[in-house]
Amino acid sequence: MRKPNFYPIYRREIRSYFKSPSAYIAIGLFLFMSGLLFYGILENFSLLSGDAQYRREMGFEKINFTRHVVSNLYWVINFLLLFVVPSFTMRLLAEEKKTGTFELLVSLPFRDWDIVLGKFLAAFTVIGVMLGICAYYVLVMMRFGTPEMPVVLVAYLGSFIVAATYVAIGLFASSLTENQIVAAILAFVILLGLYLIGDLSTPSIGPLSRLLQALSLRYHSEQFTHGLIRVQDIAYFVAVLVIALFLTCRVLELRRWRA
Amino acid sequence: MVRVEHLTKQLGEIKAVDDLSFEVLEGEVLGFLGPNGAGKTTAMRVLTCYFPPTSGKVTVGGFDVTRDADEVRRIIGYMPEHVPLYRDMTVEEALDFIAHAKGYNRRSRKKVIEPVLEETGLGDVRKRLIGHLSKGYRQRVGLAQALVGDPKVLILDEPTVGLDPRQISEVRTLIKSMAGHRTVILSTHILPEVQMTCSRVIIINRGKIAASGTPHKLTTQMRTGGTLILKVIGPPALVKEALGTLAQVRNVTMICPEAPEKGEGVGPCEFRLETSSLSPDVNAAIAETIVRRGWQLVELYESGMTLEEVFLRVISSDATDSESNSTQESERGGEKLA
Repeated sequence: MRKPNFYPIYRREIRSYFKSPSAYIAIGLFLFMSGLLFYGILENFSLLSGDAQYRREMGFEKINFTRHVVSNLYWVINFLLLFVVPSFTMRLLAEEKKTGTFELLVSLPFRDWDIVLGKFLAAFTVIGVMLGICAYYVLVMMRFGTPEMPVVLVAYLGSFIVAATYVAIGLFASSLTENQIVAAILAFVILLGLYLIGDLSTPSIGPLSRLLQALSLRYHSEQFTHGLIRVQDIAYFVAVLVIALFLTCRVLELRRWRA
Repeated sequence: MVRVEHLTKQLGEIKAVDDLSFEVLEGEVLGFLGPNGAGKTTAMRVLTCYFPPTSGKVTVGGFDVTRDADEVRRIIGYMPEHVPLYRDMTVEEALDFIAHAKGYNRRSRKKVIEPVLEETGLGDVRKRLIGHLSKGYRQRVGLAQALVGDPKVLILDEPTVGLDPRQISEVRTLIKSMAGHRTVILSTHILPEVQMTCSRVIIINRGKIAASGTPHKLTTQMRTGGTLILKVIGPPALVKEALGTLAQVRNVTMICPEAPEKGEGVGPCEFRLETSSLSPDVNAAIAETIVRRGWQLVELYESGMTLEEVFLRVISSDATDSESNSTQESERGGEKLA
């Protein structure tokens, strides 16, 4: 059995990320935006809790830290990833194709899988580091409140799984074109499509609605905010990830038949 | 070292390479010659496992390019036509990446890179970003990338395109110095390059081999009889007539610089003779004819056919009648038309 040879690609890619200012800018922007919104969420929650007594008397629902802070923060991060991930993945293959270095890669002892895996893992590592810094928000929550830790952990780790899926889709988009901007937009459109597909799911369309819900990225993503780890959700993300990587390989293989 | 048997490669609708067969021995420098779009790059891409052949069998160093692509990739060095460079890496980092890809560990990578930097003269710029290098240096980086790990087979697609004359001669010297201990296949459409660097030439046109052999063999083989150039001082019209009567002379063309009609007293006039054979006898007979009439023979030399002429002849005869095998007759006909 042949040893996989993706490490050289991974190493080169990681170096290339941390050498270019764009990675720092994207990470910085992500942390700034999420920090700002996290602050807003906390502010909002403290206002709400000031009202709590009044609200209870008026018969409104109880307010809940997990629902209002953990869940909202999860969605903020999730939403920002929709923009940030394509900006990280857009160059992965598009640039190699444009500059012709792809031909070099293929003449080296790499299989297509090595190239795809090396690049996927590199981009995921960078996104992972970025999400790792977000652990800070968890610390803030623990310092100033008493969140339900299992829910927080499930939501936090869930973000990594969701991000990995985003990266795989971004990589796939990058394999389709030589133009980085097109790759980024394409990745965003695919992600948004998977995100919004669940909104078409209304009871009026009958059995189809269940299918649309099953395909919905947001539906499966949402379960993590309830602290749920369900087989069908994990399977959904793993399946989308594997399919995206598989399709990327197939796209690279197209060179065999096309001029 | 490299063996290609009945290679055909279909790209979409087009048959880019059509039933190509050849063999390259160890230590040989093979030149792939052909007009743009002849299928040179496609053939090279099959050799480097970029894509598999549609049909036919291709082995490099005994390994099949379809089944043992990994082994093939390990023993070849490839420099594509548009030199692929990672502009955000330094020269050293780029070569380190290639060595890493070829399976050298951290320690041995340094040892592998050093001789390459030396051979290509990149030692001075090893710490510079590739994006900041001049065109000539970038081309050398491309060559260096191909040389990492001392590959047995080197495949260079138009290695001197876009360089200035001095850089071209440097690259050629480098390629020449590899002959003997490395197998090199290079493609080009620059003819002197082949004559200077290659031990064998394959002229390829429309995906097929149009001619092959050593540059010397090609230039002599393609010759039908000989061409002599002579300069004579004497009345041009009479000289032409006299030369035309000689048995071995097929055709006389007069290339006079000035006023050919006037009698004596004019400067030397040039004649181009096509003879049925090339031998000292012919030269002697011509010289005698001229001297006996009291004219002066200033110059007499054999005009060897350049590879360029061979190339053009092969390509054009291929275009005019690609069906019939180009016999001597049809070639002569083609030439007269031209």
